[in-house]
Amino acid sequence: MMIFRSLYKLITTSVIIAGLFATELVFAHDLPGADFAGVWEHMGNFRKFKNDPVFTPEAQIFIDKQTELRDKGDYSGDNSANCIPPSLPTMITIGAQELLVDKKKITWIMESIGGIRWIWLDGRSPVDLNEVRPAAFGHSVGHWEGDTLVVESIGFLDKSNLYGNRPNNESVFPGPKMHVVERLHLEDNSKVMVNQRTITDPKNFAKPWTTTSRYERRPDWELEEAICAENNLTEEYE
Amino acid sequence: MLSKLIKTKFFQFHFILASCFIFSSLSAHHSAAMFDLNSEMTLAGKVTKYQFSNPHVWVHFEVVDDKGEAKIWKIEALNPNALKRKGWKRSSFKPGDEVTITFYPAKSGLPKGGFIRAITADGTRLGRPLPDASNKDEFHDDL
Repeated sequence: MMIFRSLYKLITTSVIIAGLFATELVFAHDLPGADFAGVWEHMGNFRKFKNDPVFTPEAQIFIDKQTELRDKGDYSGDNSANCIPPSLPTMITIGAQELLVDKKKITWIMESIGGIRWIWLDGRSPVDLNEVRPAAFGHSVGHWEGDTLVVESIGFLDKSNLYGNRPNNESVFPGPKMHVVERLHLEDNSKVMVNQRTITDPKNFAKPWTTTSRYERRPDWELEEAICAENNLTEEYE
Repeated sequence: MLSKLIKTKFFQFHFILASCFIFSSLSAHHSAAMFDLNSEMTLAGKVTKYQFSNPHVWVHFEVVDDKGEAKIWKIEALNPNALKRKGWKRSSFKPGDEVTITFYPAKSGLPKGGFIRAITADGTRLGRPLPDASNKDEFHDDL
């Protein structure tokens, strides 16, 4: 009888442990690379990156035209006014960000727009640009180089504002060959996350544009819903 | 000829309709560019409306000028989730509250602004710390 009881305990314990392993999230610290999981606050002004992009002549004409219109009070070229999320890097450089990490992917939640991007870590190839539907935050795959996560994104929606460090928020729209490489690592005992990005886009930038952001860990923050359409245009309809 | 056209109901209706569309595009999401970030304006008045909503929070308040004329000013702030972490509440403002608000005025000259800071009816200070109180402005953009 005692043998059966011990066997029962052993089986029960094994099933529970196997179940915990199956969830993958419980043993997140066993995942490769640095532990980016958690809530982060972007530090600094999202409108002011240290480096300015160098626009192509075509993009410069587009930007100048917007400046001319905005000086007259015409903001009709601003697609974010219709709740279309801006392209990378804007939405990952405003406010709270939450990264959920498992063995297959990082799910990156951008609170201020209620947006999500997925960084696939399972070794898959980049998407086929002839087949994939372009997305505001692009399509991302990542791999580890030691404790640095290298993320490559392509397939960006050409309706998303791609801000260029301009004082009036003038923006271009991503070209079909836009390619973003992000390098993420942790500093200061994992309290700080650093994301250095290089955007290559032959349509808009004469040379690759590199910017860097720092994020501070906010373990006491909880994200909340943000639906842009909730009260977007009601002000002037009254 | 022109004056006759302006007097027609057809023209007036379409003029108003066109104006609505022009102004709606001015006030939409992420429109910080429409504010003059190089100047500040401070006004005291009475809250008429408070929308603690996405994508941005709005405070409307009535300001009476030197000539005794009242005007409603519409002030746009950050999204409510970010503001909550800076001490804002759904109950921070209510109609009738006497408040003082500092903001970036609209470039258009319309009575609108981008929120910088405020003193609410109960004396609570919201928004950026006063310029001399902190050097962290660069790290907490409020638009």
